[in-house]
Parts: sequence; C-alpha cells; structure tokens
Amino acid sequence: MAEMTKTEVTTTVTVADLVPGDPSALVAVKRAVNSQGIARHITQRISIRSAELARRLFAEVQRGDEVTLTLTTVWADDDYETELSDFALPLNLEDAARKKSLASL
Amino acid sequence: MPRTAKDLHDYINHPSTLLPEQKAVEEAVETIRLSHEKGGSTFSLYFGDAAQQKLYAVSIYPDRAALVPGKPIPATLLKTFVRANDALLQDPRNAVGTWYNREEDATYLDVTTLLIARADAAVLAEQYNQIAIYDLARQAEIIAGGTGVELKGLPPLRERLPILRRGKQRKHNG
Repeated sequence: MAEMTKTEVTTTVTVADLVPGDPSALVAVKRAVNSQGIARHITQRISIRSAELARRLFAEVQRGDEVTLTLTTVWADDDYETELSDFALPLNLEDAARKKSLASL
Repeated sequence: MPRTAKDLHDYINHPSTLLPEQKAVEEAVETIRLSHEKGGSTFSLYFGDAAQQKLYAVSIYPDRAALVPGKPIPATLLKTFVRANDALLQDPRNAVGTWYNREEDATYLDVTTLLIARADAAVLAEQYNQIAIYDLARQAEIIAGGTGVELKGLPPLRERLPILRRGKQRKHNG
C-alpha cells in the first residue's frame, strides 16, 4: 500500500464563497505576508466532505466573514486532497451566528 | 535549426523556438525548496526559477492550492504536489508557486499561471474573478478587482487557459 502522510494547518481566512454541492466547498482568501514583508492574496477552494460540518458552516457563516479553519491534507505518492476538518468563528461573530441559527428555526 | 527558448518571453515571442526539456521532479523540488527560503518562489518545469522576471502571475486553480505547516517544505510533499499537477504543468505558462505566511507559520503551494503582458494577466484575473495578480519583477501585488466568488460553470482544470498564441505580442493600451 502506498505510504500516505497527513498534515493539518489552522488558518484564519476571509470567506469569499460558499459552494453547495456534493461535496460542498468553501472558497477562502488569505492575505499572506511572507518573511520579506510582502503581502499577497492567496485563494484556496476547500472541499467539505462532512455533511454535518457543511450544514453548520453554511448556517453560521456568510461571504465576507472571517473564520478560522482547520484543514487536513492527505498526501499520497502522486496526489493530495485537502478538506475542511473544523472551523471556528471569532467571538463577535459567534453571537451573530447563534442569532442567525435561532432565527432560522 | 530551431533553437531552444531561454525563457517564457523568448518562447512566446519567437514561434520558431523549442521548449527546453522539463526539469526532473527531484531537481525541481530542490530548486523550489531553496528559492522558497526567501519567502516564496515561482518555478517553471521548463524554464526554472522565474523570480524577478518580467512576468505576471495569476492563480486560476484555487482548487489545486494546498497549505502545509512551517516554512521549509518537506521534499516528499513537494514531489507529490509536482507529480499531482503534472498535467497542468505541461503548459509552459503554468508554474509551481509557493508563498510563506509568516503570521501563521504555514506555506501555500499552488499552480500559478505566468503571463508576459500585464494586460493579459488582468484579463485572465477578471475572467476568473481573482482579487489580484502578482508582478514578479516588482515583487508586488496588483489588485485586479475580483471578489474570489466562484464562477458558475467553472471550466475543467485543463480548459481554463486560452490557447497559447505565439509571435510578437500586440501592444496593449493602458
């Protein structure tokens, strides 16, 4: 069996888009400043394979929100795949999200 | 006897030139890892390190971007990245891009498209609703005005680039 490696990274991004589907996806934008102090916007499209996680994300987050993502990437010999494994809102957005979830009930 | 193009400008502007042989994956990975120590790198499998060349980078494959922890990129992960994106990297306009995010101590890997004319880069960025293009010579971002919202009916990966047209480029206004 091919050896596989898993990496996990936590990053705070701006949500550019939420893409429903099977699987759903999130388009994240990061303004990343490198070690020379140069800033660059990086866009990453991330699959959300957990239906429950997708449901929660779509309920609590909208375009333009800042959110902290935990991304897991599985690396095989000749391919890799990244998925969202968790997310967290900044504290002030948590209150707004809670209200949004309650309003939709 | 056709000669081998020395860089992407040469290849595009002189249709009689040939593409160089692609670098072997191991050689590419070592060069990328070294270049990345500066904080980011752009590497063409045909022409090598594109740092500070008069080229404009646009990212139209956000679905191929990956984020790895730390600044040094493990060779095994980079090899996987290069192999996994081999089909895209066959196009001489596509390159491996790396960018270190010092705030979170993590490194982005992506497949980035290189254009020799800023106006062409701006058109491509607009077409794919990208936020910015990157000027490799000036090492600075140019805001393109997009939002990052995904296009409806995004083409398959291998159909996103326009057909490569070679020959002297028309001058663009503005």
